[in-house]
Amino acid sequence: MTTLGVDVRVAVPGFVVEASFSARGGITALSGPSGSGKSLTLAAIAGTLRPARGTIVCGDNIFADTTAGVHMRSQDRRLGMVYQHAALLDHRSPLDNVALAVRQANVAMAKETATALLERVGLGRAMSAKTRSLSGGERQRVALARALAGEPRILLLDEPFSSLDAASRDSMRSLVRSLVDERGIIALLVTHDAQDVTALADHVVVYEPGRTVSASG
Amino acid sequence: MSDWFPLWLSLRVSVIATLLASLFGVALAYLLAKWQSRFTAIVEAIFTLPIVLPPTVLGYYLLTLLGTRSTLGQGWESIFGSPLVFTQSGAVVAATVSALPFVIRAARAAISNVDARVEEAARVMGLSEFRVARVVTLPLASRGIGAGVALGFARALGDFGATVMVAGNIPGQTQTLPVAVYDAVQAGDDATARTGSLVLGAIAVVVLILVTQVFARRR
Repeated sequence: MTTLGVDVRVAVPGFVVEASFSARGGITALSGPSGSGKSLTLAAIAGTLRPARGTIVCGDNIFADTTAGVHMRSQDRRLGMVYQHAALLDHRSPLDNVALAVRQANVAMAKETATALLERVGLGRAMSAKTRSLSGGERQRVALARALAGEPRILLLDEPFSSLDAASRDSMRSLVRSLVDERGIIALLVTHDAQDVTALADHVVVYEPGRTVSASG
Repeated sequence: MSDWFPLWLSLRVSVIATLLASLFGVALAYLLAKWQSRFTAIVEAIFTLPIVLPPTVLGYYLLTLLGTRSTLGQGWESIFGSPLVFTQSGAVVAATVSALPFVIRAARAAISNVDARVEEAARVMGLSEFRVARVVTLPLASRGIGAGVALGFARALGDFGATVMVAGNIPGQTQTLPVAVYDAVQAGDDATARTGSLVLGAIAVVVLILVTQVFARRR
């Protein structure tokens, strides 16, 4: 089974986080108060932020190694990411949003894969709707389908439930649970909500402001 | 106005100039928005000059740069067999340079305003930089770019000073409508001056209404 190993210092103006943990299959929650550096760690794993020092290794793939000067492009890391505010392309249909993320040059086949994924997340009827008109819960489902479309090795979830109402939150949680189990992938869930940890986490990495303090599970 | 040649020439020159300014301007605006360095301010200042310089001075620079004694002018002549200045192509160059800053400034602002998280999400899901630009950034910036292109067209259509310096004032060959209006006034031909001015004014009003509509529809 693939393991993700993270041992980095990530710095942005005015803030530094030291994160050290490893994650295997299942859902690993990165838990801690807002502003403790969880999302920055996720950005470093996603490749949108270069770590100041350290390594991020996924199986045989070195995502980042500051000593060796390695920084793999986001595009080559095979990741799926769900953001707190979906970050969808509002000018394209939900189907297009998902199909664009399928790593398949054939457009018809990409759309077929996207259709199956949207049906899987319960949005079969909204495939050609206006993305802008979807509810918050539906947008996050599209974002989840999109994140899985590229058959990622790692699914990064950055506070994906925090902008949802209670009912959508529950159904989104169980959807994430079943999709991660089906695919046997590594999922990292950034959250400051203890209920997310209780409901979903197989492993927990605890953050204090600026550093990870323990990993369990 | 019996002779409609200046209007058709003006329209043709402005359409071609707008196309050229859009292609080059949007590409440059993209680079300026994405790669910040101390040179971007200098490049942006140079390409903004046509807005602040007197059009005749801009025309003089172009004439010096592209005239028959300049390297660029001689290069053009050796390729196309005739000089660039005092031709319709010269008018296109003058109009393109006049329109360019409007396209660049509007496109740069619109591209910078695109939500970086949406672009980032596209990269993480595997889209190449070129596809991020084509599928995400440019469509999301399209309204702002469209407004810049419309203003650029209006500017190209209305150019007088740079055009008259670079393309001259040859009736039936390089005389655009703004130049024809000037000629008509000089010759005391009020009817032609009035008609030409009304046509140019009407086109400008239509373009400005279009631009306002585009911005009004922005969320």
